[in-house]
Amino acid sequence: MKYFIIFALCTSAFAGAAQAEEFVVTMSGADYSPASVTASLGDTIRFVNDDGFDHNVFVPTASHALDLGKQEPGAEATLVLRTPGVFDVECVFHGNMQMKVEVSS
Amino acid sequence: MKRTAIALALSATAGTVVMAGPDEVKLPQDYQKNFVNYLDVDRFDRKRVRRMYVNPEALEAATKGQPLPDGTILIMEDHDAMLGADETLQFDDNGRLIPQDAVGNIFVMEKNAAWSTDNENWDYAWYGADGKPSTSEFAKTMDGCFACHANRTERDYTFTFWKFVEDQSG
Repeated sequence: MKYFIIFALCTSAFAGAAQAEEFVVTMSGADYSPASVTASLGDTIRFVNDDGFDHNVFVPTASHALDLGKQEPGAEATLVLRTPGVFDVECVFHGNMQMKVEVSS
Repeated sequence: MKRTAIALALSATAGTVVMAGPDEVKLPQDYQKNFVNYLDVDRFDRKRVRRMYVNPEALEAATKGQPLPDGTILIMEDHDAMLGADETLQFDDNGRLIPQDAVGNIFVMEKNAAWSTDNENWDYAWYGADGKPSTSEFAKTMDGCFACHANRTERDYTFTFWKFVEDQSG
């Protein structure tokens, strides 16, 4: 019985940790793909520059604003979603390269 | 050299010729008190928070839907972010980086109708925490600022300000 309880607690803890989801966004052709992500608090987005040019992840939306820095071809950057709400993502170098992220609590 | 053309402007009152050009972008006194801190940008890769300020006259004009007026000043102020004992970034209850009080670099961009630059009427300057102009190679031309801000001509060369105004107006 004691072992069952311990097992159940461990399972529950791992289940909680496993709820965080990772989304992958690529950048080839100077486009974020997918162009929108709907996620939950604690999820992550891994931005992969699979293009031949420098790109980056820049968020100009108030209360969410951030910059992950320049990503050279082949580079990756991961954003942990810590703030609920909707925000826009732009590439500093390519103004038309945009996407939207919605984070639910 | 991005500040190639030196504009001439006639003063309407005195009729004198005013020449504007390099090194004309000053650091406004007491901007932390007199300007509006409209946005903070978490710069994860540099472990910094960048605090954005605008002069109130420009904010008022933009909020009314008018173009940014002559004399608009935007300031970007660097603060190191709070780190934990293991040098990892610390976050507040809203999931945002926590800026330390000390100011680092201060970048200023100013719009002046008497200036003509590669970015129309905008020019840039870099100041240290002591308020003195940076003596770095970058600061001699500010080419990096000109080049990067040129990617936002549709927002009058601003990355965050017009986006902020648009978002506020819904």
